[in-house]
Amino acid sequence: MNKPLVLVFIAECWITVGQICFKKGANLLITEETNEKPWIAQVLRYVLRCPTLWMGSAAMLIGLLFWFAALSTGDLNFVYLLGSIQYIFALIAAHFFLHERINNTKLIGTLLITLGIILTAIS
Amino acid sequence: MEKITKVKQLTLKIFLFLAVNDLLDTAAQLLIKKGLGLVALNSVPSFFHHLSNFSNPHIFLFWIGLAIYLFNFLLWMKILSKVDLSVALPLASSGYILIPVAAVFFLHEHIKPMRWVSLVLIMLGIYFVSKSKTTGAKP
Repeated sequence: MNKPLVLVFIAECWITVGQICFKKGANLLITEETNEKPWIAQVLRYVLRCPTLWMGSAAMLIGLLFWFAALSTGDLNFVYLLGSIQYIFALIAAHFFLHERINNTKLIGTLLITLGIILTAIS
Repeated sequence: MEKITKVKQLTLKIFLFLAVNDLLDTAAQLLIKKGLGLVALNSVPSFFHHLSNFSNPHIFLFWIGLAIYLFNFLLWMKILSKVDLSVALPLASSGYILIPVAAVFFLHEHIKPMRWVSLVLIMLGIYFVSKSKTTGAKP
């Protein structure tokens, strides 16, 4: 088994879970919005008492630990190259868990970005 | 229910938020790198001792970087409350463009032709993603 490959895969899964939680938490933010206070104070107050965001942060933290573990295998370039699948993971997860549409333009754009990052890592 | 049918499109304000988010993220990374310097990570207590040693002016850079990260998280929440995750996340990859361009202008680094090709690909990708119309997600 390829160790960095497995570690990056696990890390990206956790990071995607975190992103989904963040988005779900942020969606609830809209309903609470009023125009009275500066938005930053409002968002901070909201973030501190939203359990979904706490869960998202925990998932992110676990993901980061696996990411560091992957980096510590020493193959930096390979790990960064693999890390670009994050965008594809997020696209798929957002489709299934957040009901976001995938259209051709978005798919092409996401694939181009992934390709660009892979090319950066190779060169 | 009306939120589900509402079509969300990228506004100039959100683009500005994303740009600020990216710039601050890049700045925070540079500050933390500069602030940490060449700290020997022998043990966790010695690491925290180093970070609370305010007689060293470089340590402030680290804490400023961390504060920027915190602010950026709140900004990211604001962005996510307005656009789809599958749009916001690819757009946040412009750091891949900002850093090499900054390296050329500020650090006078040389960039290989292959790198420029990849930069153009990422730029094209960002363009396509930002052009895609998206419907609002169910909360």
